[in-house]
Amino acid sequence: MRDLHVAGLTVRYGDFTAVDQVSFDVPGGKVLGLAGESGSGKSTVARAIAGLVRSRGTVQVGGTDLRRARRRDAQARRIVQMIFQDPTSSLDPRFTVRECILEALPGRRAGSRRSMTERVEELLSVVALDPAISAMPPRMLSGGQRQRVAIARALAAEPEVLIADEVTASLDVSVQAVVLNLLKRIQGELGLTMLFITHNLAVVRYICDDLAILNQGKLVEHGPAGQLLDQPQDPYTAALVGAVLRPGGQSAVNGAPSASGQPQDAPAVPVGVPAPAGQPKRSGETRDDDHLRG
Amino acid sequence: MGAQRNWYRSLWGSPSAIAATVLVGGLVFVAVAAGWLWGHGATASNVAISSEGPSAAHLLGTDPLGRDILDRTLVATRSSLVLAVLATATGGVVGVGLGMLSAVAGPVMRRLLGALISLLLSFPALLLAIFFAVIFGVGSAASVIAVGASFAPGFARLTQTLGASIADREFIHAARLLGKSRWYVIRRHLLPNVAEPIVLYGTVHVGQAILVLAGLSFLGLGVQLPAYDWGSLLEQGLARVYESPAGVVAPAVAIAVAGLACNLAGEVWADIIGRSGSARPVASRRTGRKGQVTSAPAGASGERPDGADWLLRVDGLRVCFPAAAGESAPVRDVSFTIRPGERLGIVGESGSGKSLTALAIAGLVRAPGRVEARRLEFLGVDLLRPSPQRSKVLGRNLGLVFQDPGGTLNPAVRIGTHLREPAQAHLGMSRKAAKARALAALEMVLLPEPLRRYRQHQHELSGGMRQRVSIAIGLAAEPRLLLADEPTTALDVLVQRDILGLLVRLSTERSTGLVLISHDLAVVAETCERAVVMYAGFVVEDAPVAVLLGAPAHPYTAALLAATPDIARGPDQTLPTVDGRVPGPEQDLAGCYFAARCPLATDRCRAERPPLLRLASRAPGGADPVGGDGGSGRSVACWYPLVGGGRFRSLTGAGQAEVAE
Amino acid sequence: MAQVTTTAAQGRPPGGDGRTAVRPSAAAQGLARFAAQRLARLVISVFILVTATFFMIQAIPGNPAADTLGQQATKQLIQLRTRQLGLDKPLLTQYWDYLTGVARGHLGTSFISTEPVSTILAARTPPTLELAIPAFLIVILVSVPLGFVMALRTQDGRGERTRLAFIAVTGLGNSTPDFVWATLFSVVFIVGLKLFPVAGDTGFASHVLPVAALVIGPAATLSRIVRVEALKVLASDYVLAARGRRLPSWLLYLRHVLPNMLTAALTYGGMVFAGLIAGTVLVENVFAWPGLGTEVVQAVVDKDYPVIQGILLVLGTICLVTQLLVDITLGVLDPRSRIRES
Repeated sequence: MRDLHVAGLTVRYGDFTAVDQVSFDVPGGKVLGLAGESGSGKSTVARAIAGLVRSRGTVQVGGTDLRRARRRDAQARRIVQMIFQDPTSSLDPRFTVRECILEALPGRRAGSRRSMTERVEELLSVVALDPAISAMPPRMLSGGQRQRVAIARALAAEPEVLIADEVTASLDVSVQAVVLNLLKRIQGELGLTMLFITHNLAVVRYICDDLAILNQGKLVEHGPAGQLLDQPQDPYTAALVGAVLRPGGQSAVNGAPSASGQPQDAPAVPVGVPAPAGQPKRSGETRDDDHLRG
Repeated sequence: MGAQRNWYRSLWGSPSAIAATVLVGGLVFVAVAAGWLWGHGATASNVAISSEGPSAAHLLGTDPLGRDILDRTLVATRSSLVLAVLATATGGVVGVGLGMLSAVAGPVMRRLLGALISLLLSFPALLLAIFFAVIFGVGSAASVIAVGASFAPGFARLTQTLGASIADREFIHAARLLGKSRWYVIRRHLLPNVAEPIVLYGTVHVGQAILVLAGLSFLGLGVQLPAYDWGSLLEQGLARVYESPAGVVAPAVAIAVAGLACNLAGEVWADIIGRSGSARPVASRRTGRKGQVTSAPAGASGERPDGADWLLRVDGLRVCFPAAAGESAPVRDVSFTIRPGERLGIVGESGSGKSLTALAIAGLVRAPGRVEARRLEFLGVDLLRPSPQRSKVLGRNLGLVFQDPGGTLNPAVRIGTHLREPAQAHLGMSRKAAKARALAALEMVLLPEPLRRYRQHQHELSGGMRQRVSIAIGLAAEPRLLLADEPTTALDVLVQRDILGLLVRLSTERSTGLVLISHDLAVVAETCERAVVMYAGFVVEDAPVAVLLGAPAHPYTAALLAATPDIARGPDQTLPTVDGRVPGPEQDLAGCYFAARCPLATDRCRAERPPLLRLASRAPGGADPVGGDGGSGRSVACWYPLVGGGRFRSLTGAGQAEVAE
Repeated sequence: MAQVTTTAAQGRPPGGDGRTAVRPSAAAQGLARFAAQRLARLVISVFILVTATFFMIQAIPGNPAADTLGQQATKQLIQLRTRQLGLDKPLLTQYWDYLTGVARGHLGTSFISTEPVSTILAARTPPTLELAIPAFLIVILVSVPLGFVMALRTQDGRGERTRLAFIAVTGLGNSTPDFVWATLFSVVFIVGLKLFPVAGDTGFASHVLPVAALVIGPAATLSRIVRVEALKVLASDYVLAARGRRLPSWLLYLRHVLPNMLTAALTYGGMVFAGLIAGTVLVENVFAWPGLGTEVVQAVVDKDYPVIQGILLVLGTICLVTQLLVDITLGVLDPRSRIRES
């Protein structure tokens, strides 16, 4: 149960700053939700913490500086494990499920093949998958099953910090529920420190203890999830929360579809014009994610 | 086992595969055995019969030294093939090495290598081969090196491109996160995934090598006497073409056949790779020619002069495709109606058939897909049979908005042209009038700087802007009905709200009907008056939105509602789930398709499929008037509807459910 | 040729706001800058080409001067030839002399005929172009419509027999190299049927067979490629959307399908022309055509290095210039390719 400490995290590509001085702490065993629209930099933050992109600033787990640790010892990369959004490309199409998970198990253990096989089956049952699928390649599995294999693989590496990067974005609602419940249970049982990246604020309260909102690379607001969602301080947060639709139909915008003819949806700030300071800027951008919904 | 059958099918399954297998097999056989079978005739010189034409003893005549030409051609197979394989292998090793190097090198090195390879690729292989022939001289060894060197850039470029595309894939990142070294990642993840396309490229290039080497020998720059290959035989034959023209036939045919064999072999190999490769994602749209009609309801084909009562009537819609074993029906039985100006939502997850339903209505299901229905009418016009009236009514009165605006706007066509087209084609407007109208449309959808956007192409706009343009196009011909398939799925939440608001506003202002298809109940709740829930190609529930969400009647609706994320749901409130998967389109079940996953299913559910029936309302507190068709009535396809508005509390392992009344 | 893009920056906002602050006439400006960039690239490429031809001689193992004189050469002759070739001077001086020579059009003198190389090139290049350019035009004019019509016929899995026939014919066409066609035509039409002149460049009729031989292979390949690209476009989402708008067929094809097809066809067209240049080398030798092809083969056999250098320079430059023209035309037709490259 180790803390995650991030300070002054900055990621630049040439002139462009994707992540600008982002700082937050995640107490050991807690879940921090990182939310924002596309282009907010949330995925970049995740990748920077995992060490997949070059960054500046401090990233520490339990007091240990990760960057230095990784330079000294490649195995230190296993401290942070990540589950990616696209289940199709996160598993090597040429590996079977078993091979995917085996690859993630720590080094050579005394005790051999049998104990490794047992461990694979154990992990598969943790994610509620039938051990019989271990001989199959990923293409024979559904999206939800593949995500569960990805989770099993991440767990096999025995990480301290788990990052879930939009893991349910490409899944159907009913499958999404399965994966969310699974993550919640595992995180709770293993006491993993978790970073939960999402663009969908509707799941945040269910999964996350705390919530941080990113806008164009900057951290806009940070606090306990429930509090932020009920009483957002920052106008951008308020706009995001207000735009979340509810299945009961009572969105913050309008309950019943309006018949008044007034363009209530006219943007306060026209798209493309730089927002005056403090105003929420509508980004109007396509998600950079791809969706497999049929 | 399946893999073996795949191999068999790939090798013998089609005419080209058979031809390839036979030809390649033949070539290899000849290459190996020709020396023994025909070696004598090829070397035995007999000046007495020099340069003769075809005869019984020598089918294609003899060369100046009296040697049988046919025999020589057959014997030359070995050197031609072996040299070609060597040259390709050389080029392959060097090229792949270069490509791999550039993949792991730093960015500067990579750019330099990339530029170098681009430069080399500007020149044809023969030119490069001549360049190297100057350096290394003439002869077999030199020409193998020359041809190999000319192939290397192609291999390098392919490896570079493949490497770059794989290096971006997340399983590479995942492997790095496991602490694996760079070399491990290349060896176990990168190489195996690029090997197949490279081998395919190599196979095709063996054929190319045969041709280039033959060309070099033909020019006298390749194999030198006394060795010979097809190219030099052809050249010798050409030199004596007036005395014995038959001398060119054998080597010419041999070269052509070998080239053909390699091309075909390449195709077969590509097919093998394709079969064993990763599954293609389930196509969300099947396109084909306008489908065949199989049923027209008796007497229902008469034209109704006005659609005052109904905008759209769908009854018993079924869309099917031929499949490996029988038929696949992604849409099995769909019925609903839309009144003028009504906003209807169609909700379903993947595999529900909702998108295909939209395509069927729009007449965009193409062969081999088939659309059947008891009734499919739009403004009184039958949509099942392709006809000029159908095209006219659809063009003029149905607007379409698809999920991916980047995909549905033509990258080569300006935005303005897209907008003008419907008005010009269906309203007969002039270009100027259509342009004015288009600009007005862009303003209506609140797109800033409309004149500038008018002139731009789709890649210059962001996703939200593109979707606004799509909506403007959809409304361009002033349709009576707008069909929007997942219009906001690819958009951010703030933009989504704007777009949905836009759709609602435009629909109310112009009394345009709206069909909004979405996997997200919340989206439908926000925008529509009625909703239809689809599952496995069926409509399972049809009700006004407030009723549907407040008191769902079908267990699937209840489950979907319960599983939909809600910003108010706290960490202690359970998120119920339903295990299992949707039955696929090939399945043909007797009973309810949800029965396998439904905690309330009985034997009757599994044996007998419940039809979509009107539900008499007995809802306490507030009468739902049971009106005529549509309006505020509701229907459900279930033997045991949750009439009191059951909500799933939890699902135990044994599949029980607590249903709150 | 398409550049390989480096690993996409994760998290970089796609398209959108960062680039919306662009001047109104950005499109036109983009083209001028793009063309200038490509021109600069051409200059550098030609420079590299020139350098390569220089080092080609340097890289020859052994003593090039001796090789060109044959086995009877005396020591004095070898020394004389060495000085003639400039091989006794330091490397950099040789290089500089060569560069300035090329820049001024002094490409040396042939060892065999003692003619200036530039004269030889001036005489021999037009006949080669007389074959290559008509062949190129015919290939384009035949392949693009043919490929498109085939695509229309075979979309949605229809026309299986048409498809097989097309594949078979084009398969045969592109598996057989141009010099084989040339030889066969020679045998059948010149020797056999005596329909065409025997050899050399003697007016219109003598062009027919060489051009025909050049055209078959590339036309087969290009029409296959055009068909595949057209099928891709016909199956695309935007064509589906356009069909949904119930536009008349001719408008659909002309405005929505054709422009997208042409981009791919053009890219391959550039490669086709380069291949035709190579093809002329071979075909000229069959028909004894007085072009660069016959000259370069003779020069390689004779080890006439200045001539080889000159011809490779000319042929290479033609290929590079073609590449430039293709890139610029693509840049005009498809604005996206401009952005990707910069």
